Amino acid sequence: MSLVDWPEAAPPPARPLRRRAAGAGRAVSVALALVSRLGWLLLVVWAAVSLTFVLSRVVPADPARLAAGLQAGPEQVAEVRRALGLDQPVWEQYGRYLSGIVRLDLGDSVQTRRPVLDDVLRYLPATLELVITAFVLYAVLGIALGTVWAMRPRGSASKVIGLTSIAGAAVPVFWIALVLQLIFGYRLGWFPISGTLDYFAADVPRRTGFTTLDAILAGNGSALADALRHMALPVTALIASQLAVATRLTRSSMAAELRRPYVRAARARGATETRIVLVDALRNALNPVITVLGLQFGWLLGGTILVEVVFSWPGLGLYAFNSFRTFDYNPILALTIITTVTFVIVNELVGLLYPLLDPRLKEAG
Amino acid sequence: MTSLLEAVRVARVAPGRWSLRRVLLALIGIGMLVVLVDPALLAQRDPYELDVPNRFLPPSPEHPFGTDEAGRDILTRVIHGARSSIGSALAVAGLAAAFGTLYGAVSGWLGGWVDRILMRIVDVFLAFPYLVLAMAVAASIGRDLRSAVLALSVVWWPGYARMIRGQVLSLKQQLYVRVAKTLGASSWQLLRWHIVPHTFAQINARLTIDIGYAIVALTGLSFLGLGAQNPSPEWGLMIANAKTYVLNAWWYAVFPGMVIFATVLYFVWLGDELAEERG
Repeated sequence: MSLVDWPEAAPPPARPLRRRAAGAGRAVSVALALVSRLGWLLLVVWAAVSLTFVLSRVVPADPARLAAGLQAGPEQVAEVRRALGLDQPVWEQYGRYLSGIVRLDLGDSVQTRRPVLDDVLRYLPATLELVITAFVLYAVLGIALGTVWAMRPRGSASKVIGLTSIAGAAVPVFWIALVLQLIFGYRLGWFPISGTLDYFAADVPRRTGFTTLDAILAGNGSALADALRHMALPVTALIASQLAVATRLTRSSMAAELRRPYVRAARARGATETRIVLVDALRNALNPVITVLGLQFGWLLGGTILVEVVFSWPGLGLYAFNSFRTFDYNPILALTIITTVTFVIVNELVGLLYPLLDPRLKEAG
Repeated sequence: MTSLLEAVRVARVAPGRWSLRRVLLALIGIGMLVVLVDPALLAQRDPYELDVPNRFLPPSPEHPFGTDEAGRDILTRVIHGARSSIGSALAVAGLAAAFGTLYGAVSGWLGGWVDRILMRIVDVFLAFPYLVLAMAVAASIGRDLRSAVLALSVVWWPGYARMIRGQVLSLKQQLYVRVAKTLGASSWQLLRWHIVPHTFAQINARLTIDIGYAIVALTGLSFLGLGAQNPSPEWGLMIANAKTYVLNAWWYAVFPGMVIFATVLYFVWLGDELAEERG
C-alpha cells in the first residue's frame, strides 16, 4: 500500500524456529505445518470467493438488471433473474455459486459470449508473460541498485538512484506508461506502441500463448525480436513505478548487514569489498527483501491492468477493463478470485525460499 | 486536535528547528489548502465551459497547459480537479486510519483469543492484492468517486490496524498505564487518554504518506472508469480522456500527470519530515 507498509504487512511467515524434534515427532510437526499452511490457503480462497459473491449478489440493488444489460425490458430482466437463480434464497444461491466454482464453472461472459474460464485461459499467458518478465527484472534491478547504494552511500551513482527511487514511487503507472509510449513509441519510434506482435510479422502458430515462447518454438528469430520489442515499454512502465520499493529496502537491509561483526571480521581478514558484499552479506540481506518482493507481485497483478489498457496488451488486464466498461460481472469476479489465489500461492512459494537463504530455518519443522 | 497539541509540544521541546525545507513545505501546504477551499481564486475560468473552436491548443501564455478536446483550459481543470483528487485521497486515508486505529486498539487492548481472531481477519485482507480488490469493490458498488473512496478505504485499513495493535500491545505494559489502571481508570478512559494519543505521532507520518499513495490509487481507479465520471475534472479521468489523443495533443496527458506526481511527492516528503520529527 505504501513504502512504509510492506515490511510489517508481511503475511504470517513460515512457522518460527523450533527445536528440532527427533524422529517421528519431527515428521508429525512437518505434517502439521503443511496442514496449517494448506488450511490458510483454503481460508483465503474461501474468503475471496465469498467476498466476490457478496459483491456481485448482495451489494448491488438489482443484480439481474445489471446482468441483463441496460437496454433490457422487464420480461428480459425477469428471465435473466430466473436463469441466474436470483429468485432463490441467498443461501441457496451461495451454495450453487460455491459448487460452480469447485467445478471450475465461472459462468459466461456477456461481452464475449464465451465461458469465462475459456476467456481467462486465452488471455492469461499474455499477462503472465508481462508480469513475470517485469517481476524478474524488477527483482534483479532493485537488488542490484540497492546494493550499489548501500556500498557507496555518498557516491554520485547513489544520489541518482536515491532521487529516482523517490520519484518512481510517486508516479502513477498509467501515466508513466503513456509518457513512455509518447516519447519512445510515437516521437522516437524506437518501440512499437501496442499489442504483442507486429501485425505483419510472419505468423507464429499459437502453442503456449506466450508470444516469446511461441516464437522460439517456431524457430522464428525475427518474431522473437519483435515480441521482445513489444514487451519493452510495458515492462519498463511496470518496473519504473515500483523499483523504489525493492531498491530502498535492499539498501537499508544491506547497510545494516554491512555493520555486523562478521563483515568487520571479513574486512580484517583482507577479503575484498566486492567479495564481502556479494558472497557474505547479500544472502543475509535478502531475507526481508524477498518477503516484500512477494507482496509486490500483488501490486503487479493490479498494475498490469493499468498498463495493458495503455498498450492494448491483449491480456487479462485489458479483458478486465473491458468487463468494467460493459458491466460484465462474471469476468470481474473470476479475475478477483484468480489474482488472489495467484498472489497467495506466490507468497507461499516465497515462504519456501527462506530456508534456502537462511539454513538455520531448515531446522524448523 | 490532540495531534495538533502533540505538534505544539514537540515544537516547544525543540525550538528553532524550522529549517528552510520546513518553511517551504508549510508554504506549499497553505497554497494547497487555498486551492482546495476556493479553486476559483487561482483559476477564474470555468472548468466546464466548452469552447470547441479552440480545442487542442498547445501550451501558450494564454493556456499554460493547453486546451483539451472540448477547448477547455487544462490548467483551470487541473486546479479545480484538486478538490476531487486530493480531497478524496484525504477521505480514503482518514477513513482507513480511523477504522484501522479503532480496530487495532481494540485488538491489542483485549489481547488473547479476540486478538488472534481479529488479526487473522486482518491477515485475510492483506492476502488480497489490494488494487484488484479495490477495483472489484468499486465495480460492484457503483461508478462514482464516492464508491472509489469507499473501495480504497476497505482495502487500506488493515495496515493501520496492524500498526496500532503493535503499539497498543507495548503501551499497555507501560508503568503509567498500569498506575492509571490501579487508580481505577476504565478501559475506555485508558485507551482514550493514555494509549491512543501516544500513537498519533506515528499515525500522522504514515497518514500523510498514505494520502500521496491514495492519490495514485484513486487516479488509477478513475483512469479505468471506476471513479470520477465525465465531465468532472478529476486528474485520473483527465488522463484517461487524454489517452485517445496522445498523438495530436501530448500536453493533455502530460501536464495532469506531472501535477499528480508533484502532489504525491509533496505528501511523501511531508510524511518523511513528520517521521523525522518524531524520531
